[in-house]
Amino acid sequence: MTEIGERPKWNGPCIGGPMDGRDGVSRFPSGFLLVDRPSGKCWVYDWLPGDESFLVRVSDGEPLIEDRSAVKNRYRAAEESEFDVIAWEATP
Amino acid sequence: MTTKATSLLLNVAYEWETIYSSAAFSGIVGDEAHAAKGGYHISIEDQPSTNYSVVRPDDKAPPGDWSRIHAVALDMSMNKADMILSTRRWMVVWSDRTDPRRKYFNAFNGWTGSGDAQRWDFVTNTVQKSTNDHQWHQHTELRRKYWNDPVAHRAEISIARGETKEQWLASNGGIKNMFCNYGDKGENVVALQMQLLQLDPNALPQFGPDAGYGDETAAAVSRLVTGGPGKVYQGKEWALMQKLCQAKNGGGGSGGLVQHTHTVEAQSVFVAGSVTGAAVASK
Repeated sequence: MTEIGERPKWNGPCIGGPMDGRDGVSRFPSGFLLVDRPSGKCWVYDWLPGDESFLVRVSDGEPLIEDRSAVKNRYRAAEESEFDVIAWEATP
Repeated sequence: MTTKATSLLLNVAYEWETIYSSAAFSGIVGDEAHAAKGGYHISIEDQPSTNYSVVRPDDKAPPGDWSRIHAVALDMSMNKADMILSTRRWMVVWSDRTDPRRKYFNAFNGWTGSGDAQRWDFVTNTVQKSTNDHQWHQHTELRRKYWNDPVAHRAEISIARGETKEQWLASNGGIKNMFCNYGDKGENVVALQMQLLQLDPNALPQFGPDAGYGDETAAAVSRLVTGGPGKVYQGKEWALMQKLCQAKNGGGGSGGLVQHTHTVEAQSVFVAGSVTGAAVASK
């Protein structure tokens, strides 16, 4: 979110899921939500402070919940301050 | 922290996602760490009075009477191809000093696909290096005085769509899409529905903001705004809605979605709908 100047970021390798072996980054302390809207899937990567890495919760991903009234929906990540939201690069 | 997001800016995020297949809304209100640095994701109230985001004439309040509790920046995460396309569309507007949409924005951060991410400033007409997280998310900032101006938010969607200056002008600044009626579908209906949800989070229990003006939306318009059948949302009904939203959010310059009536844009919107009736939604 920083538009001018640096602020803390969490960087490290990702374990599992489509980002396995790649470096991830989040602007928020709990990790990030990787979103693939065309396929309707997402992956939650939790930040592991001791390992300085991101660990996927479900390797095959989870359904992307668009219903804003649902308890778990993807907009929560954008509205709260725990997880970053990152678009999956592999989309067309 | 007291910073809030407006339903208008949330609506821009949802519209943006319909334009770019990879786009995912990633934030409006900054977190505590961001508040410490300040910026347009943070309200005026939540940061020092000397921060860069609250000192320019169109941002400073007082003397401005705009909201001191709302964020005016939007982050949209996208894949590389969409980042490049979106950034280039914004660059086109930034480069044309005669484009009327420029006046609503303070700056945007994006990436052209090589080198560092950059920040394009609409006020100083300068470009500077930005943090490289803007290689994977675009950041856009409204000038704070336009925090609740629907035309400014329409301009943001227009640029994201890649509309030309001529297309924007031909649409009368998006005014023709301000209003809607029963049976309509599209972004104007979404804007109405987002404001209904601001008045009552349970206003649309079955379908939510689905862009369709059906029985559920009409019932909500009737119950919360107009009485009667609730099947017409033109200038008079729109003005009433803004008053209700203002009251809901505490009124005046401290909150709410009321249009600033001192702006030319706001006056023209109201006149177009209520006097000429020419602002009927085309969808």
